[in-house]
Amino acid sequence: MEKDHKPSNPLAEKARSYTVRPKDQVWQKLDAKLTHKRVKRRSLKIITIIIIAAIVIGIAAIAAVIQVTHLLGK
Amino acid sequence: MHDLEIIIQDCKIKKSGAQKQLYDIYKDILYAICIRYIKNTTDAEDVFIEAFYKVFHNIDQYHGEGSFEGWMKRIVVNEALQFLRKKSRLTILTELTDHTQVPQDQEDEWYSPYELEEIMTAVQELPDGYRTIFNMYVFEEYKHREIAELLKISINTSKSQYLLAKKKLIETLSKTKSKISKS
Repeated sequence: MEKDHKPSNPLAEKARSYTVRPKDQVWQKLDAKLTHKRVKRRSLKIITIIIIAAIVIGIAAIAAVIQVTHLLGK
Repeated sequence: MHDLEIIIQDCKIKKSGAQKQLYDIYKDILYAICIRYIKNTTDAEDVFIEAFYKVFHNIDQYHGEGSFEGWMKRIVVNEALQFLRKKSRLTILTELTDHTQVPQDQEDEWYSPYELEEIMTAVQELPDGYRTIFNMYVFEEYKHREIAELLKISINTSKSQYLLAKKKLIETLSKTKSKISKS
């Protein structure tokens, strides 16, 4: 359903020049929505990094404990 | 690279400055579409915000095939239709099988005596069902088959609703014209 061609009907062609200016507050609302999304995405990234770091530290700690126990056992 | 292409590329990496630039370029054209479909200004603004949000959110899916403006317009129209469907404002579309009720379409330039502004105001006065089909057929240039698919109605309903919408529109326009000439 491509609608990129030049309108074949003269009224549609005429209507291309029809514009209505939205209120300035509309951009503010949209920007707030976009910012909220950006913040959410950033927070999600930070949380992911923290979780991965915690897992890596945890694995390293377990490995260290196993090694120490192994050494003490000898 | 063309200016618009740069803006689009920047929007793809979510640069807020580019998003504002894109908004400023297309806001008046796209808002006019919302106003054509939705009479209530507050609802039209909500639909416009949601549609623009979708434009930014899905801009990665635009790969340069076809015009960017056309791509955005389709998002706006779909959002408006979704809104009207949700609000059940399209339920008035009744199947008209008796073609005697429907005026014959005349491919004359019925709109030529009127200013664009007058036509647009009169379009806004049409009932939701008539207005939707009239907008889709005349301004978006969808075929009746496509309208039928999108609105889940029969091709005949689309055709008849369009003809009735056109008839009502001409009536409204001529009434307004005669009022003006009397005063």
